[in-house]
Amino acid sequence: MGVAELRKPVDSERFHLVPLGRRDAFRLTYRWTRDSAFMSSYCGSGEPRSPLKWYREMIRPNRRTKFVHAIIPHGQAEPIGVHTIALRPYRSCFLAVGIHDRGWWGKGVVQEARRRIIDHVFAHSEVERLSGQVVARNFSSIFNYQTLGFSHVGTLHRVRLDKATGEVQDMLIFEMFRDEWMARRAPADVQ
Amino acid sequence: MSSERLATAAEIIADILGCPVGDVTAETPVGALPQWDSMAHLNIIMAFEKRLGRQLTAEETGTLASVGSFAALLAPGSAMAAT
Repeated sequence: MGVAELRKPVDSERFHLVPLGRRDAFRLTYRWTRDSAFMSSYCGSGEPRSPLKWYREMIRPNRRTKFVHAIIPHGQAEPIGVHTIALRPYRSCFLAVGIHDRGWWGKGVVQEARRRIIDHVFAHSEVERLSGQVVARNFSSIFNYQTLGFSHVGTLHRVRLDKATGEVQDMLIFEMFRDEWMARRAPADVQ
Repeated sequence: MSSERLATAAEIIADILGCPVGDVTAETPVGALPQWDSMAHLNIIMAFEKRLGRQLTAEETGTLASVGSFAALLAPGSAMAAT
């Protein structure tokens, strides 16, 4: 895939979306692993992680098939969250996002950043299918998938244990295809 | 769909969104109203769970696409839950 463009930063209305190298992605996100509530939402499990455990678990950007974009508000230096992309066979792309700064929750960050990232992926790769997984009790994240046009295509029952709470969780699988996304976008919106 | 269930669902949703009940129809998609953001969506689901006296199943939360689908939750024995 001609994904060189995916290594470049992009901007949305309110945010810089800046690709991070592996070391920077680790440094940024490892400190967030101490935030149990955030990690439960982001990864489905809020237990403490050692640096090695998190390094193994996180999506590690490689500039070819895995990308981590820091979400940085215009006029600010500190990222408020990250959006991750993992390109996978066949012409698929797995998405995940975490907004750590609670001051930005409920302010449409995921919608705005993900719209821009999806446009970016479709414009610069041969990806045809987007997918994501979310804990079934993460209603805000489900809302974000649904309102972006993703379809719920399956459920993994009792598939994950949150070691921080002892809860066994179901996961929902969402997906959307390129033609569905393009049909939802007004031509003027696609950059 | 029962108009009574739809009216109840619309009342619950309009109350949380702080909008007139008339703005909320069976066809209104999730997120279509400006007040219907991710936090409001969380509150709406919690309100329905409180009313139903149970947690929604994973399948239910994944397929709530419109006000009409919320109203369907209020049907007697709607609980896909039990499956």
